[in-house]
Amino acid sequence: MEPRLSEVIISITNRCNLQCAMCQIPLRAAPEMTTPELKGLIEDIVDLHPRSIVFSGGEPLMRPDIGELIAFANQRKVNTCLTSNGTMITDQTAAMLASSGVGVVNVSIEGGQEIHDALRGRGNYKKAVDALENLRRHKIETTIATMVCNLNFGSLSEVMELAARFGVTTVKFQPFSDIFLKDKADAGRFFCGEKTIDDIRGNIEKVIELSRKYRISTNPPAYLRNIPEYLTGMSKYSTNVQCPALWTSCPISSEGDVHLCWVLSEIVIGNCKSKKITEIWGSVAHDRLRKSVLKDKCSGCLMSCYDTQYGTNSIPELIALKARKIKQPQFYKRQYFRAYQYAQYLFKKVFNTLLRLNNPLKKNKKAVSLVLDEIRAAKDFLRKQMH
Amino acid sequence: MKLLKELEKNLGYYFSGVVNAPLSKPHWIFVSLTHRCNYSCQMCGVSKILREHELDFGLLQKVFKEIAGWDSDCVMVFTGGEPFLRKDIFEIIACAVSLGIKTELVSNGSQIIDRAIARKIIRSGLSNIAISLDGASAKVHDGIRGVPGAFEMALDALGFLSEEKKLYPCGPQISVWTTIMKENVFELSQIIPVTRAQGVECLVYHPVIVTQDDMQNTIKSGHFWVTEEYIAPLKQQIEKIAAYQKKEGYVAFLHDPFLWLRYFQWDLTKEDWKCNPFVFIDIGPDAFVRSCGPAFGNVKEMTLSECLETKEANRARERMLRCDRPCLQTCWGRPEADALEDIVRNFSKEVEGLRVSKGRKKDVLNAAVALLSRYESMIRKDY
Repeated sequence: MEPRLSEVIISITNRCNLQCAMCQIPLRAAPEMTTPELKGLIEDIVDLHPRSIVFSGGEPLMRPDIGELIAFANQRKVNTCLTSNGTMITDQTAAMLASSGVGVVNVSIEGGQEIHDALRGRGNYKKAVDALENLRRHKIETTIATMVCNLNFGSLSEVMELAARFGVTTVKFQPFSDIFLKDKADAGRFFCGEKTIDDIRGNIEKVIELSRKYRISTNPPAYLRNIPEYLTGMSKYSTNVQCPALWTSCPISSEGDVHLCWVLSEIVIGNCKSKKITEIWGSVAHDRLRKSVLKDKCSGCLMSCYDTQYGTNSIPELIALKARKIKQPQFYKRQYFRAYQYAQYLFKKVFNTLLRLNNPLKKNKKAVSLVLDEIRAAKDFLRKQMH
Repeated sequence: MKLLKELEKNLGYYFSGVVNAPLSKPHWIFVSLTHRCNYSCQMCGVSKILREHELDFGLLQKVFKEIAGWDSDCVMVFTGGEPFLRKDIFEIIACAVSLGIKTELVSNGSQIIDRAIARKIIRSGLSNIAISLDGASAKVHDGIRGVPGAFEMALDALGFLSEEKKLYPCGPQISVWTTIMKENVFELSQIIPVTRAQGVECLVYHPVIVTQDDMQNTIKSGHFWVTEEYIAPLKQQIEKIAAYQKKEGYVAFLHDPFLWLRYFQWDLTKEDWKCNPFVFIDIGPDAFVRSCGPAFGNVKEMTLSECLETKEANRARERMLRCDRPCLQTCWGRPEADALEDIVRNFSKEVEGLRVSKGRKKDVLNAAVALLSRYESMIRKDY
């Protein structure tokens, strides 16, 4: 059985208020989808019953309609996540996000103040930390995303300490990848020399230790332990892991292109402005692309989208982590949304096929109206021919 | 009116697919009269299964009568095994023909050993007789068919048939069916002059399928598959055949012949060639009815129409609609009924070309609109 679609990541804009060293997305100016277009897209995405919709960018808060979009998804009982650099999350914005019903806000923090500001620009560490505070005040579950590279591997534990201080539930680490760079030649300075490997390993072990101590979720330890080899280029990637991300995560660019995977950004399955996402996702063409990628086009990566493939935490650890999350104000709502979407998904998968008795139109109002539209168009065409 | 009938049929096939219920009767009805065969062709496993079964004449008669009552211009194709191994083959043909059914027959030609048998065939009322020929030389054809002398026999049979047809011009079209496979790639275009010299009127190519009854199980590691290194020569051959066809006709293409390349490259998709599960059915020697995949009824127990409406039939068709391994077997496709837009457009183009008054054209278009309204109200009512 195919893995279920887990998250749909919509990059709603390429614009950003920062110019970070490791990310050149804002340099790729691209047309954006309008609010009604995005709402239509969300409506269709809900038909795919994912676990969550991630609003990403660029900086998604650059769009004034972000609250409206989140609220729209929230009404449709699907979990939402917002990834942000935190610099725009003032008290007022946090209040707006809280009222939109956002599930999780993910703030990027790269280490201590010095290193964060070096990578993301002066003064931005303080703004990001303020964001954590504002989000906590407005009872929004917060997570942290940290890119690991040559410059910051020494201050990863600072991120963990910060997370513990602000009640952050999850810290996700993701080693540097050149996919966000326009000029790949810049990538070299983010990787490490072989001599530093033990140093990186030590820091990673510290992170794993702190995650246990503070009961903060991170990527599975087995995944984290791959990072030193990856960053030093000693073992480039782990391609022996069968990548489920082609099934579980659906990236959509700001212009509406549905990609197979962010890393293989040149492969586009279709554009959701001209076709419904439900027709693009899981289509024959999509399947063919997946197969060809798994066969020979994928050179491997260490993106965190499939980190669970490396193994998970032990069960007692998982229970401990969960126990901390239960205290989150939105916990029950999120679990309810998750269960709701899962039930819908199961229902569609199992019962619908049986109920329909192999008749594609039965219990499918949308399909019926599509057919009727088609007939109407055909009749109009013939009538036109009469004159 | 012929145009309207054709439109009705295409609309039927189209909407059958939409609601997965047989609204038009199948166009192709293959009847496998026996699985016995005097050849043991390597790509065909038919003679190894169901050998002990054979449709008896009484049952055939019942089925023919039902089909004759359908008021649908279907075509019945007698296949096997080798149909001429049945002693009552001419009675069977006569029975179907006398009921007004259009009939065709596929044979290996080995039983057509003289002018007398050829004469009987030509005058039997068949509308097409197809002889299988898989090479332009004895070496290739005999190698594939597993019987020395098969090539000579097939050519002789074609010769006898065409000579008899000269005396009786309203006899069946004499055609040749060729299976495209690795073994005959280099000779494909050569088959044209060889068969033309025997007075053949039509040549049909179709790509090999490795499993006989279910394309969804086809494997490309099969023995006859045109593998990567043979793709270039196949392309050359197709170019030659297509060029000839453009000039002289003779070769019947039911789709773009270059799709064969994609088929063998395992790259063909639904967008290129769609199967219409309502167009084709096959009645096996054990009287089981199927179109693709598992059987869904037995004509010993129920009528053919009832077989088409069983739950199993629904399930089999749903599977076919989902199939993403197009087989390019022409009997399973009806490209002219794939999209409503195309059906209507082609129809109006043909109406445009009619040499009748404007008022009459308007009537025809009106009738077409009425037909569409019928489907519209059916869908509104039922769903």
